[in-house]
Amino acid sequence: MRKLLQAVVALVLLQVVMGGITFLAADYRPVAVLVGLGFLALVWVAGRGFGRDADPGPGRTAQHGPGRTAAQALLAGLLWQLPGLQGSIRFATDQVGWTAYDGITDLQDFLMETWHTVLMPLLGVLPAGQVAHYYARYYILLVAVSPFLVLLFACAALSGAVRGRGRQATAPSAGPRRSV
Amino acid sequence: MTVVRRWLKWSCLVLALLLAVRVLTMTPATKELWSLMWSHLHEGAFGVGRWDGERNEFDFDQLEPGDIVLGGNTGSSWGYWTHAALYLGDGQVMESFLQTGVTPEPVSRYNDYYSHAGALRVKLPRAVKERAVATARTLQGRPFYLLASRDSTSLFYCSKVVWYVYKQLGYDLDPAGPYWVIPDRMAGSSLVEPIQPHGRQP
Repeated sequence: MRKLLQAVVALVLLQVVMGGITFLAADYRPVAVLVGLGFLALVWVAGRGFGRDADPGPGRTAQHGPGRTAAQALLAGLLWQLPGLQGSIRFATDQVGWTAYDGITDLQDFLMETWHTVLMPLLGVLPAGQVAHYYARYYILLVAVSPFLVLLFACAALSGAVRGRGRQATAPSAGPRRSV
Repeated sequence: MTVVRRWLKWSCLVLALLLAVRVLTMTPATKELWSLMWSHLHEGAFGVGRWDGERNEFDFDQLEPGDIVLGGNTGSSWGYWTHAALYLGDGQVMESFLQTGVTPEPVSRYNDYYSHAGALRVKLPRAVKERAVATARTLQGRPFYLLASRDSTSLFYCSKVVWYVYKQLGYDLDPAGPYWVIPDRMAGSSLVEPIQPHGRQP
């Protein structure tokens, strides 16, 4: 549990710090776009590290399999992405008619967009256009960013856990591994 | 997670450095950013304000392409006018909303969704205003981002669309603003004059 919370704090810090850098570098578009790509790469690296950290290491009995590691990563990802997910969930409930657009929707959208500052320049370089007859393509992507990041982190963790186990099986006498 | 932690330490350092540079070199912008969001919080004013649910009766019949349309709600933290758009002609304005990005919308929505509305005539030749309209059309579909800087050519918010198209033609409707383009400041620009409606006053 402690490891999970540490991961959540690290991921939140990562997103806030990268968002701050993007905001300050916004006038230099290529730099801001690169920061966004770097952020995605770091989320993958963090996920791999999370998966490998969950692995008990050589000579120790595994308490749970890669599936549970991925589930923990999913939970960590959901907690990390709460500021963005609230906007995604609101969008989904609006679409199915459970909620209706009101003044709070705007604030929720602003929060979601500000949270995803790090990826805004990246969304800005995508071809402009609208889907259906109302929503902009970038907005649909913005709504999808949080679930995507959660899945990215979970997939990376699963990949890290499976790889860690593979190593353990082939080289049981290997020395202590460095965490990524 | 070690690499991420190590990276975080370095990036925090970079962020602190960038922030320090920003604060030292762009103090008015930094101050504006914060003051616009929070300065009137004690009066209950925050962000875009609240629409009271009442339709306004401002008459937009006199609009010409290139005019500026304004809307406002009570309780906004950045002034009397909270929203701005460029009139394209044929009852359409070039808008910018978070859900739609930069997009054309009917001007009638300024009667339907704002407590008060208004319009400004830009005191420039018709040819210049037509070029402004043409420039605005090229921005359609660009993302809305409330924190977009003036220099960003890919991210926009409502008043920045209006300001940007005229700025591209060499006319600055908000020269005093250090960071955001504020509708109230555009309304006070020497390049514009208010359009008096034939109908009921706002």
